[in-house]
Amino acid sequence: MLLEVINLTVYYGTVQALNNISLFVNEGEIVALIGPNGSGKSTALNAICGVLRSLDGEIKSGKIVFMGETINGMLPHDLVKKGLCIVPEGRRIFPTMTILENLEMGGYIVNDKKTIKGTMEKVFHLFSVLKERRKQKAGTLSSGEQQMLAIGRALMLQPKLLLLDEPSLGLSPNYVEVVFEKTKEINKDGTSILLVEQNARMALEICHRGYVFKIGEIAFEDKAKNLLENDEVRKSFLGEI
Amino acid sequence: MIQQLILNGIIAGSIYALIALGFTIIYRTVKFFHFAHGVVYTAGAYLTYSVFSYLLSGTSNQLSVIGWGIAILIGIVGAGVLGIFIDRFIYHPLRRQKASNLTFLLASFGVFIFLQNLIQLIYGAQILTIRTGPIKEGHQIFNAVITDIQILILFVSCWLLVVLWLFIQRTKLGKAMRAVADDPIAANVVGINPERIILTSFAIGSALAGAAGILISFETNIEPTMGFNALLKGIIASIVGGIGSIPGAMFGGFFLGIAENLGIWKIQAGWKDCIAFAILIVFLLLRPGGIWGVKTEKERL
Repeated sequence: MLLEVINLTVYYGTVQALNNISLFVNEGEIVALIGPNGSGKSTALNAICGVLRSLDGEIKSGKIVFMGETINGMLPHDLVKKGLCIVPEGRRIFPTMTILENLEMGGYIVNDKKTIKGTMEKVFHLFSVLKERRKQKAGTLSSGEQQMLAIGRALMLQPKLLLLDEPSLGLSPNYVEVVFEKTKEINKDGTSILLVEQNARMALEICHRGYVFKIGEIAFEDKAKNLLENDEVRKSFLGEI
Repeated sequence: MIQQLILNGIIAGSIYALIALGFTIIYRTVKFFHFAHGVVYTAGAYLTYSVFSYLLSGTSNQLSVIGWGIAILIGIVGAGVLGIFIDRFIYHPLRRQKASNLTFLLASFGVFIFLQNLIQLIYGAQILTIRTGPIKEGHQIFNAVITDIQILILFVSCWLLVVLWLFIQRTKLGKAMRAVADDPIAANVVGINPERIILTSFAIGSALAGAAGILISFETNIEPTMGFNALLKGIIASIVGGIGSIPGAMFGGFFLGIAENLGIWKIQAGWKDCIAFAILIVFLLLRPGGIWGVKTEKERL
């Protein structure tokens, strides 16, 4: 097992965001966390990648284990060295820096210039639009292109587990398709993915397994195919009547 | 006359630009006004004064080039170390407590007053002068007079501005500083340790303030309270240039220096400081983004 979250409870101040949730990601999987707004999906991701503390959240109890090691309370800049990397919600690229510089920053902890160059070629191969515009300031890109950049930047670290927080949020329908396609492609290249998505149907179509969140708890967990066929999930979470 | 005023403005502006650049580098990473920056400027001048006096003690000779170099270097490095200390012992504990921006502001005022009084306690409140040698007649260029010391000030400050610009644009550490300025959380998740960048910013920013204090001390007398006015000019230059913008801070410094000096062409010299504040008010009202046109927080949302 690559990642295991055991009985995790998270608070923001006095407000409980997650109540005793458990989930896991096997090597090679895409796992999706779906559910309505404010149900704690993003909180789970932020707790795993160590950003939670910067957002004034706190893990009250439970354990997060990555590759056999407990990583509770570790900070993001230490976790990336272990191969755990997040594409944050809202993309959060560096707007005043060029695409090239954004990718260079993605490889900040990599010291070997050849490795950086090689990885960058792979990223350019995956997202050719980035190569064409590499000298352009990232803030001038469309939101879809910014999402490509944000994913590309995270790939510069060649992560073992990639966390994607709402990658399709605010994108044009074209780019939503592209994001899901590329997610699948990245997974095929051997990166495990934990995906948080509003767009539940599309997420379930590309992932292996899914967890359905409901007010800080996990309501359902199953293979993606079964969740898509589950009547209650379809009614309550996929918007079908 | 006008040539001389412009030249004086450029020289004063280069000092303002150094202070503003240091202030801006720190502001970009911590996002609060580090007022104690002004006292770091004073400390740099006094440290160099001490080294100068020590090296000159017992001789009536002028200092050699090496002596000058040592005195300047110790002053600059000392100021950088002071900046690191201020962050480690004052701001860092506050960050851990997640203190509000107002707390940081008050703390930085406290540090300013404490260190200024400490300098006064050690050196006394009177004016001191760094003996830079006999006063020589200046050189004539474009109908203006420039002294050797002024050439040194201009050369060193412009050199520092260029080096800093290249450092921030080209090096990995400089880029990481820009990344943290853009988005600290995003910088953190790509593996940049924000505490390291904050420390680097304080070291570099403070060294620049020290350099400015040292350079000005070759030209005028030094006194423990000299940092306050310098700080105000540095802040005005930063705001006029565009708060948080590095080219803005440099440009704002020169703009302010030249405007002040051109102002006294028609107005009495006593009104010099008033000109700076008038410019600040005009910019805040009409162009709050500064010359460089940075977006204010409101516009960004």
